[in-house]
Amino acid sequence: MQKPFYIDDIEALRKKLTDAERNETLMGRVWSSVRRRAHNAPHQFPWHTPFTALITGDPIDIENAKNAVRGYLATLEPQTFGMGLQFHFWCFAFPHARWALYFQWLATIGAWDPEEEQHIREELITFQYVNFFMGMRTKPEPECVDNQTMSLCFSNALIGHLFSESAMARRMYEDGMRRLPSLIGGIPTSGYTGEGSAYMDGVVGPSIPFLVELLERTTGGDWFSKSLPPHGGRAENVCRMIAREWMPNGLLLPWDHYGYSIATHSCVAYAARRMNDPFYGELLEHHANWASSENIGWGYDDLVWTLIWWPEAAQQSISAFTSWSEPEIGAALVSDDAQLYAMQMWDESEPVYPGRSHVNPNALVLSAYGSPLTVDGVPSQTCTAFKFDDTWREVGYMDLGEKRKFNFGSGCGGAHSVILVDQWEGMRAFSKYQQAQQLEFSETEKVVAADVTPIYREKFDDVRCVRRRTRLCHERFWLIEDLTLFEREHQVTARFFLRPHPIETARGVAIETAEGVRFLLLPLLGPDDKTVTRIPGYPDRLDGESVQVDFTQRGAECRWLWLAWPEATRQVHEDVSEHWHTVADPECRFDFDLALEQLAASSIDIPLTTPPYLQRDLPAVRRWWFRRSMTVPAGGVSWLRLPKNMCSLRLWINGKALDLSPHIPCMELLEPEIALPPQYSGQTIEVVLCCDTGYSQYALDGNNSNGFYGKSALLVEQPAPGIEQAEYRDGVVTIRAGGKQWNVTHTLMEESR
Amino acid sequence: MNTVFEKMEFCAANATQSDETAFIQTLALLSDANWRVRYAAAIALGDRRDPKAVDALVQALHRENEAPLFTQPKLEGGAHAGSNDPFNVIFPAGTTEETKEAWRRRGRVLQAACLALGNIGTADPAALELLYEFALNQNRDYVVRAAACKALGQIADAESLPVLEKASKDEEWCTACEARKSVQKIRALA
Repeated sequence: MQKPFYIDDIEALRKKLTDAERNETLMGRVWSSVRRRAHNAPHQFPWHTPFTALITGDPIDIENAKNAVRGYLATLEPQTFGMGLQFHFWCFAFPHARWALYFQWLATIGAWDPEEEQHIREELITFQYVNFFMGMRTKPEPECVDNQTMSLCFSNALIGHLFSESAMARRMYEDGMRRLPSLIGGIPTSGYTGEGSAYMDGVVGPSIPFLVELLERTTGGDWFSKSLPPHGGRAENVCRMIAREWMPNGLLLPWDHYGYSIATHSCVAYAARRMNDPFYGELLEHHANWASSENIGWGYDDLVWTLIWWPEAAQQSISAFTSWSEPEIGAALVSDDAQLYAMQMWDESEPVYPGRSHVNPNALVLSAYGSPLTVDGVPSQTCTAFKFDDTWREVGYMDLGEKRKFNFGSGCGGAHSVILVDQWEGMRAFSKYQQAQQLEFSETEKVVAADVTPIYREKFDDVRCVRRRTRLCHERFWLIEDLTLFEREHQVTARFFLRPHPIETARGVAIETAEGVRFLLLPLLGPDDKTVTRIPGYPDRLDGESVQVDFTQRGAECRWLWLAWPEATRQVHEDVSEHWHTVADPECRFDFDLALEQLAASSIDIPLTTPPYLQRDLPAVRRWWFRRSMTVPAGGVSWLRLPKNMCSLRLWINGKALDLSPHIPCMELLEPEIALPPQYSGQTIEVVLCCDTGYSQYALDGNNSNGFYGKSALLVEQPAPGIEQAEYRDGVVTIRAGGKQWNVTHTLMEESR
Repeated sequence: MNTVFEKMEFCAANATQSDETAFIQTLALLSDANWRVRYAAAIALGDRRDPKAVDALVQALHRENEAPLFTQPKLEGGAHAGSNDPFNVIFPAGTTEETKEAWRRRGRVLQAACLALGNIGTADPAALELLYEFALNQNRDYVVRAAACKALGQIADAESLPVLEKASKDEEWCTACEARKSVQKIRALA
């Protein structure tokens, strides 16, 4: 009898999951949540149904899974007329391959009658041949190495393998398999394709297990750690880079396009299985967001594959986040307690039209105490910034019957925290060359420096040197140094994009984030001449706005030495995650009074950490109400921290509604911290919450399958005395704050190394 | 060989056979009423690399060219990739099934025939003329432009250089890439 492909031992997998569920391990809870979604709401979570059917063998689960496959087949005909299938065929190829795989899984347990099995098989093969075999042949071989080609080649190889009795399938297998090794080998040795965190984490990384396991199962040998032509890329390097994109604040690096996002799990689970490094298991056990059922390869089965790859062996606990460096692309400096995080990037941007690979030579990503300090990404549709005169483009090859005119300025230098020269905001490369070079990195000294002169040379032929150096000092603050040298005078701008909101400071620029982290950027060397501009709509996520700070000076030689000083102003007083009473509001019709009645009658006591239907056999509905009493600490300001991604959140204290509008923009990615009105200081209060949560993988109202996640806590003020003295004199930086003094010897960068 | 699937399978199964009967049958299937069969036949003829197929492929390209392949307006209705939620698209009044079939296939048969001509590699004037047109015509999908550019590189006729040099400036990456590769190949052979 055929085995379900990719699963060597179905009995062992069943035992792993049932043991985990019985022992209530994290893996067990994740499996329970997947099983519940598939069993209780199969129409809402179709991507979970085939796996659940395979594991449980329950006739109801099997019928649900068969209906999911049938439902997918029914969409093929109308999809044919969509712009998506015709012009973005790779997005459809990867999920098609997985639905074909799930069809095969169900066939192995005898789920289909022969006639239907034959019909579905022919439909799947034919659709693949006329759409995705065609798509794969459009992508130049071997030049095209990206998520799109990976999707197309993989889908042809997998379907070719699954249905090898078909001549068309064998033909697809031949071309698809031939190209798979070079798609891994064509990735730079850093493991970073240049497509940014979103595509790395959403497509490239999750593809790796599929590719490697297909190659190993059909041709034998080790395809995980082997260096492959043409660039020596290795699958394990991709997995390592995927994990490095995780930041201690729970978000992925806002690298290149799309900005901050939530990580997927399956590639990290696969790395935990294949590599003898507890780092990956630690990420899963302690840093992953398990209410997130993110899209991988245009399908919602990340958790399914996570459960398949996740090794059951207990991992020893380690510090997950350490400093790292990849000489071709960037480096991160992480404090020992992972509270301070800096990444300096110099990955190559795309010449002429920077698409996903933005122009970000030496751009910085800073985060402190769980709060991102800098921003990157793309502007919202309504944002008017970055529409530079020299960055308009019109294309006519990606849509039905119309041309698209757009401005790609948000991919250029002017939209990033970089050095700009003579105000050329549309800064970009026009041909391919090595754009940057790492000069220095030390994990122990926590310092990184890179030279990015070449990308300035195309426009400014008198440039001699453009460099940035970042140091994490005393595990407490950063020093950032910029040096530009030209033969002639230029206006040089050090541009930074910070999170809102600016606060008063005598020198430099300061902000306080929504999470109460203050950040001071202070030039210790170089002029403090600056403009501070609010940029509404950039980035399109997080706060939905940013602060653009331009420090400027003029000269042939321009230098800045910055003190970057973060300071937390809040601390946890009490964890209040447990014991929330809850009720479902299936038709979203409760008002406050009715909800209160329902809550009083409810016996469901649940932690406010993930949607109730993930924790228990409760209906997978959109709207939920919660109630809990808690005692507000006496004296000073207190905040209530809630899980992230509580959609359309409303909150009442003792029956009075609070205005949450200032928190709305950030809630999707960060845990909101809501200031409690001072009259409740020292009192026991009753908190009522109403929120929507992801309840369907294809919800028409936009509430997708990502539920809320996190812990609830009461926070109180933490002393934040600010800087009393900061100066650079005689090669030494001296900082005094809160009665402490730090001295750092700092030798300025020179043109010669 | 009754169903569309069986005909497509026949083409793929016999693509690399030396059997002359199968070749003749595949040539006939290049004129099948169903475009999926014609597409499979074109791929098979390309795999077979028999110059005797060039005329039939050129004729197939001419026939395809007459169909309203690229006239579809944006339609209402659609769904996410991979979704299994039911949905419908709404067609303009009077849209015939023949037109829908043209919209379904767009450049698929054109691409398969272009690549087949490239694989066969014969510098047939009629084929080259069509490939030049396909390489540069911005009214056709880039899957066709890229295939034509690739085919011209495989045929490697020096006369193709001006077209390929122009196509190497195509705004679409795959087309420009294939054109550049073909230019390099032809120059290297010169």
